[in-house]
This record gives sequence, C-alpha cells and structure tokens, in this order.
Amino acid sequence: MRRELPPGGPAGDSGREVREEIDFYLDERAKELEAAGLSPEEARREAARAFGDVDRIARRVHRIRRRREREEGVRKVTGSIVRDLRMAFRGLGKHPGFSAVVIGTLALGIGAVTAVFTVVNATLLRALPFDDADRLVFVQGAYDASDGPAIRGASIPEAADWEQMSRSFEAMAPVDNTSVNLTGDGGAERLSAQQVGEGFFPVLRVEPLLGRTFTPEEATPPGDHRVAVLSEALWTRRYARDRGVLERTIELNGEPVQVVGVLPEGFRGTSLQADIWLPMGNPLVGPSADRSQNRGSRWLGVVARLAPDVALEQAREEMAEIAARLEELHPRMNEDRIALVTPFRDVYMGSTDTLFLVVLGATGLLLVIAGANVANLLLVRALGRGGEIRVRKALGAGRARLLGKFLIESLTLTGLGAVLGLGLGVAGSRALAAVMPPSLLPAYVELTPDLTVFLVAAGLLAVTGILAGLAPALLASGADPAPGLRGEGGGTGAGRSSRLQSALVVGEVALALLLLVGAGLMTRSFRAQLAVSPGFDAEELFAFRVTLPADSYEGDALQTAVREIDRRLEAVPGVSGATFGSDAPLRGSSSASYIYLEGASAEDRIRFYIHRVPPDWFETLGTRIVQGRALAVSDLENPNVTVIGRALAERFFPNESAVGQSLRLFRPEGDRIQIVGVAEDVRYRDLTSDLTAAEDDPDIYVTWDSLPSRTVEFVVRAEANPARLEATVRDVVGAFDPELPVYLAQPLDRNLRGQTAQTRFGTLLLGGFGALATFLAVIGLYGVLSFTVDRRRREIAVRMAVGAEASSVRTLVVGGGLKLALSGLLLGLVASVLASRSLEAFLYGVQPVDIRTYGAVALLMLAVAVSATWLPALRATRIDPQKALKVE
Amino acid sequence: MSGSDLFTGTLDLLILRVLRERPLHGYAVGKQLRETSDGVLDVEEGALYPALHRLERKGWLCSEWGRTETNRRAKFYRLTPEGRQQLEAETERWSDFSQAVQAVLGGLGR
Repeated sequence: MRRELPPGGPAGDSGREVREEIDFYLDERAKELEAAGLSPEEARREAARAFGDVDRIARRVHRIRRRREREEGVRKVTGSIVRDLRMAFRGLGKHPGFSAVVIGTLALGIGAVTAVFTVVNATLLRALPFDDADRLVFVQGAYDASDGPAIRGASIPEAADWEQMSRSFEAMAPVDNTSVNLTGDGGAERLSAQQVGEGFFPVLRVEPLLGRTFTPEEATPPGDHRVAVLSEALWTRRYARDRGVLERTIELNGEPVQVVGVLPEGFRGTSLQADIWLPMGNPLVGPSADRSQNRGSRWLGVVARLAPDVALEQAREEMAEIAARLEELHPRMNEDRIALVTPFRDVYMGSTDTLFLVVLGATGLLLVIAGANVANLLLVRALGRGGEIRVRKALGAGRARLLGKFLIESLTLTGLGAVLGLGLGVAGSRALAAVMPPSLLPAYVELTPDLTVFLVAAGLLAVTGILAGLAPALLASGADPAPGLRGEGGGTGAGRSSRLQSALVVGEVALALLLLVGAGLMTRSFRAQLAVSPGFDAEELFAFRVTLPADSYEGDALQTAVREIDRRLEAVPGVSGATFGSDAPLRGSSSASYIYLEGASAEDRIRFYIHRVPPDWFETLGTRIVQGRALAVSDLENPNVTVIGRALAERFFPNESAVGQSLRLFRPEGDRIQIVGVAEDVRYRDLTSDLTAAEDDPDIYVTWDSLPSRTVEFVVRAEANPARLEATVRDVVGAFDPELPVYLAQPLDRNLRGQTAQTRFGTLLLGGFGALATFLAVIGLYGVLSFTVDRRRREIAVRMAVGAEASSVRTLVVGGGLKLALSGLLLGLVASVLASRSLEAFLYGVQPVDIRTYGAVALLMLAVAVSATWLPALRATRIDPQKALKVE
Repeated sequence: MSGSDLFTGTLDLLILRVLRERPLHGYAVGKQLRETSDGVLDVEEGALYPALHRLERKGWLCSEWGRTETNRRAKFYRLTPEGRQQLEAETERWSDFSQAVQAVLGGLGR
C-alpha cells in the first residue's frame, strides 16, 4: 500500500518538484539542528522524524496538485469557449448579410417545424380528453362485407350479450348521440345530447361535479325516469352555476325533466360536444319497449374500457368469437355480423393522421433543406476564410481547437436562428390553426406549444447546428496550411469541399422539387374537387334544422306546422323559394335503409339513403330531373312513387329505362313504389366517392308526407347573400312557435366548402413549404456559384485577357449551375415517383405520377435555377483581368 | 474529527498571516510557525506542505521557483489579493470568536 508509488514519491515532473521542495526543507532543518549542536547524523534523523512520513505527505501534496491542474484545464477550455463566442458574435456583425441569410434560413426551417409539430402534437400525440384514454375502445357492430366491414350499430339485446359474454373489458356501456329542445327561461335552444346506458360514466371514469349520475335502474330501458345531468358549460351558460338547479325541473322537448347532476368542466361526452345526458330509461329519448327488445334494431354505440393487462388484440379475438357464437344462436338476425374493437384514438383521429404525417414529413424535408443550406453557406465562408485558417494552423492552433471554433460559430448562428424560429413557430401555429378545417382540429384541442415541442425543436436544432458546423470545420481543419499562406484563394480542401457543396445543392434542389410535386398534385386534386358538381346549386341557399317535439305536434299537426313555416319563409322579401325535407345535402343528416328490386330475395337487399321531400324540392335546390318527372303535388294522394338518383338507375337498369320500374321498400314483400323520374346525382354525403360503385349506397326520394320526419331541414333560396338570412329565419320560426329552436343554420355552400377543406389545407401547406424550399434551394445554388466564380477569378481573368467573349464566360457559369440543377431535378423526379404514393389517399382526379404536374414543376424549378445562376454569371463577366491577376 | 478541522483552519490562517509581509519559501514559513505559534506543527512538520498546496489550489497563494540567499533553488509562496481578503475575513472571525470565548471564560472565573 505504501509502496504503490516508486520510492521518493509520485513520478513525473510534478512528483519531482514536490520531492525537491521537501528535500530542501529537510536539508535546511537539519542545518538548523546542527547549528543547535546535534551531530550531522542526529540532525538528519531528527529533521526526518519531526517532518513525518515523507512518502505519505508527498502523495497528499501530489493529489492536491493534480486536482488543481484538472480545475485549471476546465477553466482554460471555458475561457477559450467564451473567447470563441465573443469572436463568433463579432464575426456575425462583420458579415451582416451572410449572418442574416443563415439565421433567417434556420429560423424559417425551425419555425415551420415548431408550428407544424405544435399542431400535430396537440391533435395526434396529446391525450384525448378522457382519463387513461389509451385503454378506451368502441365496440362496433358491423357486417362482414366483401369490401371490408360496414360499420352499423348494436341493438340493446346485442350490447347486453356482448357485455355479459366478454371478459376483456373492465366495463362496457351503450350510448347514442341525439339532441333535444331546451325551452323555458332563456329561450328555446337545441342541445346536443347523449342517451346513455348503465356504466357509461364509470367507463369514462367521470365523477359528477354536483349531485349524481344515473342509477342502474334509470339507465335501463324502457322506463319512465325523467332525469338528466348537465355539462358544466350548460350549467354556467343557462343557470349561472346555481346549485339550486338540482332541485329544479327543466323543460326538454316540452316536458319537465329533473336535473340530478352536473358533470365536471371539460367533459362533453364521447360526442365531444354534448351538453346534456339522459338515461336510456328516460322516455323522452329512450327506446320503446319494442325497440329495447328488438335484436335487429341496431342503433347504439358501445364504449368500453379494456381490463388491466388485456391487450387490444386479445379483446378483438374475444369479440370475434362472441360475434361468431351470437351468429350461431341467432342465425337469421346475426348473419355476417361481426364486432370490431376500435381504440378511441383511431375513431377520433382516423382521417387526420395520414395527412398530418405527410405534412410532418414535408416539414422534415424543409428542415433538412434549411440544414443543408446552412452547411453550404458556412462552407462557402469557411473556404473564403481559407487564409485565416491556415495562418491559425501555422501558428499552432490544434485540430480540436479549430473544430471547436467552427462548432461554436455555427452553434451561435443556430442558437439565434432557434430563438427567432421558436417565435415564428408560435406565431405560425396560430396561423395554421386559423386555416385548418374543423375536421382536422377538434374543438377540444388546445394549441399551446408544450415542453415536448420545445425539446423536439431544440434537439433538431442542436443536430442541425452541429452537422452544419462540422462539415466545414472538418474540411477546413484538414487543410494543409502551406499552400494557403501563399495567398491563393483556392488551395487544398477546395476540391473536396466543392464536391460536398455540389452534393448539398443537388440534394436541396431534389427535395424542393419533391415538395413542389406534392403541392402540385394537391392543387390539381383540389381543383378537381372544386369542379365536381354537387348536383344542386348551392350558391344562394341557406339551410337550417328544426325538430318538432311529439307532444306539441301530434298527428297531422306536424305536417300543418311544417307547411306553415315553409309558407311563411316563402313570403319573406328577398327569398325566392323555400322548401324542406327529412335531410339536406352535405349536412350529415341522411339515414339509410334497405330496398329490394322487384322479385329479389332477402339476401339481395340494397342499402340506400331515403330522402323525404315535397314536390318543389328539386326546383328550389336546382337539381335537374334527367328522365321522367319530379314528384308532383298530385303524388301526395298516391304516395307510392319515387324519384331515384341517376347512379341508382345506371347501376340497376343499365339497359332499360328506369322510369316505370318499381322497387320494394324495407322488405322484399314491402310497399311497392314506382319510379316516376330520375334526378341528377346529388352529393349528399361527400363530393368524391364514386356513386355508381357497388359499395356506395344510392339515393332515392319519396314524398315527405308519406313518411314525415320530426326533424326537418328547411332550405331557403335567397335572391342575394344567403348569409344575411339567419336572423330572418330565426324570427320567422320564433314567431310561429317561440319554443322551437333553430339550429345548424348556415349557408349551404359553407357545407360544400367544408368538403374540400382538407385538400385545401394540404394544398396551402405543401404549396407554402414548396415555395419556401425552392427559395432556400435557390439561395444554396446562388451561394455555390458565387463561390465558384470567386475561386476561378484568375482562370476567368486569363480567359478574358486572351479574348473570350463575355457571353462565353456567362455560359461557363450558367452551365455549371445548370448541371447541378439538372442533377437535382432528376433525383427529385425519381424521389417524387417513389414518395407521391403516400399522398394517394388525398388525391382525387389525379394520379400520384402525373406527367403534367411533374413536367410543370420541373420546368418551374429549371427557370428558377437559371435565374439563380444569372447574378454570379454577370459578376464573372465584370471581372477586370488586370486587377484580378495583379492583386492575387 | 472536528479537532482536525479546527487544526486545519488554524494552520491555514497562520500560513496566510506569516506570508502577509513578504513571499517566503516553505522552510521559512515552517520556521516562523514553529517560532511564533506555540506548536501547531509539533505533531508533524510535513503537514505544512499539503496546507501550502491546498491554499494555492484555492487561489489564495501563488508560487514560483527562485533562489535563496545561499543560492539554492527553492519554491517561494506569495499571498494573492484573494488570499489577503481571506486573511482579513478570517482574522476578524477569529478575534470575534476568541473574544466571545474570553468573555465566557472571564465570566466563569469571577
């Protein structure tokens, strides 16, 4: 232990110094003792004894010194970092243009990523507004069709069987979205409601803020439990947060209902918009005894929470087995019936995530381009400063020291770009939210950049900064100092670096092209969607919905009331026509049923959408009758007539006239209805599906009077500016019956525009990114060419001195630039062919590999590239041979 | 070992005090301590060296090699401005402390 060190203490210079110090002490001490009268030997011995264990003390001293040296090393490095930082900042000030371009480029890239990621994070990655939402699923009743499952609902007996037979779920509960009229103090209002079965609130783990939720008895249909619970929002809005609301009844659909509870803030049910919940045993909305027992009456949604330790796959397998067992038990009712288990996330995010991934990918590309551009610009500058670097190297600056210097410079730039970029990102996310369609940005989403966003952005930044700084640093620090000192601008490292620069520029052009192709495809798709005829003339139409409760409008009173409202609407000045129906196009109100061709068996049923309309429907909406006639007033006496959509006629009567044929409604032996006309196809559900395809469900029209609906869509044609009609229609309906709320009131072309919103959003975003990317690529190209011209000054000067024309010098520079641009173009086209497939789901009326789009984009890029080469080319021709040759 | 802490603190303070007037080499520091301090180095004179280096690490002393009057190579220690401040602060603390002790002991004696 004591002798682990060589005799005489630690080795090395430090060890020797310590030894020398101690020896000096011992010598002097011995001399002192000798002077006091001891013999030389005694003096030495006494000095050593008094001193103590020399080795141990030497080791202690040595340890202290080593610690000091380490600390000094750290101080030295810190000092040099501070020095480099100071120099970096001073450098920024010296080249304001260069710094602005680099910082601006980074800020754009980082800003775009932050903005997009903020939105993506808020909508896709952040939790849904439910406790432990990842364990929540919908169990969906569906039919196993050849082209994939067709999701319908579940019946009450079926939902009960599922719950009883399954083991994979902690709890399961039926729910149905509905709406009710709230009347009384504060005026009439249509409320978004949910009727819920037993266990609904426990499944979602919601405890009431006030009062209670429903008892199992109340939640079991059929029943006579006139109770409800309110959302916190409704409680605040209508009842001013009065706790006394629990002792009150409110009026729903004209009947008194007892409020028993208020739910916590933010909870809006599984519809994400409900304001009131009623138990299935509430007769106001709950099913009749017949419907409660009918296995074939499928209308329910079912929510469930996976039991702990049960994987989604296990639950799916179990539900598949249960569905198969139920099919055995009820072969007729449950033929081809399956049960799907779908996580909440997939249901709420289903249509949005692919588009978001595309957008995120595009943003990533933009950041890569920005990074490449920064690397490129730093390279150009590093090589421009070749002389300085070589002097430093010659003066003995180490490779590590030079690398550090470059890194600090690039990190300073990146840091400034980051700060700016984060600011841009926050502003950008707001702007993005403003142009985003509601289908992509659910109401519950809050767009606040959080720590995740910041960390991701900062991480990307750090990587960008390091990479952008490292490449030039490695190249420059690897350079041999000798040739540079002779003053030649070019020199070692330039060849390698210009190859790297070229590669960066080619990559930038390719990626920018890729984004432009995406933007081009989306634009064409958007225009194709706009060109789709919806089958009606939406421009001057205004639509709103009214639900007439059964207790106030019994029997014929319903028809009378609807016709009276219609008549009063038509009488309003500025209204050129009014009509109504069970549903209106693109307003999400259509419902489906089955029809059968004459003589067809039960298996050959056709799912279809039935629209109940009065005779003037077609004229008011501007829907053309292509064959036969429209419904007529005379048909009101003889309700068994129908007008069918053109797609249905073409599909089932391809070689004969559909007019005169007949169909059976609801059952093979059901009411026979005769086709009297064929109407132009109206886009009731979306703009882009192929209506003649077998999987699409066709449309038919019957007279509204034959099957009057309680919920009525009124459609009013204005002479001008339909948006101004809202107050008018509310007045008209209010004057007729103040207890009738008007809801979903808006111009119909807003619904039409909603259909193209997603494509519009994608087009806008990809277009913006494409333009940004192109701009960055042009800066990159310009930078490289400028540098090349600088580096070849002497060569160009010589050429001009021996009589080369300015035009041939220009060709030389432009040609060099075009070579890079063309390589980038080719690469980008190949990448586009491969990558455009990811856009396929969003493209309508255009193929992913669309020659026209690709060609147009390539031409655009080429034109931009040529303009980027022009300035450096012009500069090359302005080189004064005499000066260039003399100065160098 | 609170005794050792007290000892270390005392030794450090005394070294700073000895070096206040002029730079000295290690042996001279030790000699003055032995002559004036009544035995802080009695146990082990060598303890002086770790103390000197510790103070140097703290930045209170700095050192350089030089020649003695007898022309021998030796390492000289000098007080840095920080060391001087430290000495003043510590001296004040010590005199407060010893006054307090004096007061208590004097009170007991009476």
